[in-house]
Amino acid sequence: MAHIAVTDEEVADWGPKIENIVEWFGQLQEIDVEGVPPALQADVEQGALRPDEAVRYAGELRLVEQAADTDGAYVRVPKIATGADA
Amino acid sequence: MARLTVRCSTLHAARQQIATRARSATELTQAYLRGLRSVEPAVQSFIMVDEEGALEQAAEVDRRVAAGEHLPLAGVPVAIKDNLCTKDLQTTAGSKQLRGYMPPYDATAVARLRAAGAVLVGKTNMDEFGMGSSCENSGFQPTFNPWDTERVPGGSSGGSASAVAANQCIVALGSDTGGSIRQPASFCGVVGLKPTYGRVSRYGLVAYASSLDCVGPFAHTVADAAAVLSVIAGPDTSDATSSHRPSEDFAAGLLPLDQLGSKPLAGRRLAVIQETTGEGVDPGVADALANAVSHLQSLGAEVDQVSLPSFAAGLPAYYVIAVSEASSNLSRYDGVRYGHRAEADELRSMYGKTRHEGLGSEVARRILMGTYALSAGYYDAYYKRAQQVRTLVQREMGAALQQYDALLCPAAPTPAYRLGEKTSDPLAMYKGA
Repeated sequence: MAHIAVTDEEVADWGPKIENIVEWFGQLQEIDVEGVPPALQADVEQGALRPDEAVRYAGELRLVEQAADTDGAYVRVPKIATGADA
Repeated sequence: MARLTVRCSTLHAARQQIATRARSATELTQAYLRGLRSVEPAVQSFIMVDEEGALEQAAEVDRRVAAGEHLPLAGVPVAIKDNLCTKDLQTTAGSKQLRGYMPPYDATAVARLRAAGAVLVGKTNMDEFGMGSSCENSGFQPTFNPWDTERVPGGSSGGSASAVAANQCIVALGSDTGGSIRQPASFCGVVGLKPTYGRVSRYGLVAYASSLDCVGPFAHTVADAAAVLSVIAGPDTSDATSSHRPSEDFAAGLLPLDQLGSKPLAGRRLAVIQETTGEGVDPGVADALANAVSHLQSLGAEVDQVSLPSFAAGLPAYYVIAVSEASSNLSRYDGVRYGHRAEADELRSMYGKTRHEGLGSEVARRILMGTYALSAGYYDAYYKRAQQVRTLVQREMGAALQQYDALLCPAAPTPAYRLGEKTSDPLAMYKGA
């Protein structure tokens, strides 16, 4: 899910480190959070809306040029493997 | 190491020199660039120095000042942490994944500094994507504490803190998600301010944890930090989480010494957070805090102790929230539209290989933990629970601030430690102890 390739050496090295940290996270289980709402919004002020108008970004092609492989206004990537390729 | 001789130690002094035409912005910039270069091999504060750009900006400032424009930061040399986008100037966020990346725009905080006449001298070193407390997680180089080059400057804004401490610039910008301005400021002996979330726009700040990230200043004095905050703060339509409250002159309340009575803090009630002074805090740090308390009392303040029991849970709750939000924010580094792209025949292996090659170990580990904490079956136990603990911390802090004007605590439990001391144990690095 994280889409990061890892080597066997990394698994061996990182495994215990990650386990240690996740175990440390465990202390949160001991806290009574009954009825406490999660603080899912960091910004407390409301009303941050702008007019519903489409705005064209002038630097479009400039953005596309940043990609490693382009074809005009398109970015090219390797194909995705499907069942048909197997 | 030899400290630089000070040309202008403060923003105020620089402003005076430029306003009275005693010095031009160009002369001031040249002087600072010379000093920057001479000490840089010893500290390595910068990922990139932009001499040419700085001199062009300085010339432009001189033109504008000559034309009668009032610029609050005219000619002030400023360093920018490398996770803030600077138009056409490399922005890496301390990561090989973004080596060579040239943003097409300035971050709002950067644009506001430029409009105020500040001169950007370069981009400072940092822990990769903000993940670290020592600059040892930079994808490029370590930074050395100017006070003792065998020690870390702190992190993640270590380069900005060391650049100010070593007089390579007058002020700098950093970012703070879990202490990344405050701790390096403490380690390098400079002023660092983490403003309230939403006070400064995050537009153009490379996101680490969106509900926690803040942009803020480093300076030699509180007055200088206030002057920078006044320029960068304020609403921004490009950042929906920015506060609607307008910026103000934050230095207005800072009276000169001769206008203060002998007990300027009379009537003020302060409190030390009990949980930040006990076990795990270096005796030197405890002494420094105790001395500060005595000083504040001599200035007329009443200083109590207050207990915030939820405080201890704040650190693990912060890390759960930060790694979770980071796993989402860093998913954009896939090699498709910008940044490093690995060779691969197939798309998903391109993602995996790109991210393996471009991202450092600490970043990779945090993404893995964050992905786990947000996954189905674990979200409630980790992310949701951490956010509930966050509410508890907010409530307790809020209640304490009803009773007291301010709460006091150390910025870090220890002074700057040696390079390499904590790199083998990430959890020790997180705890700072």
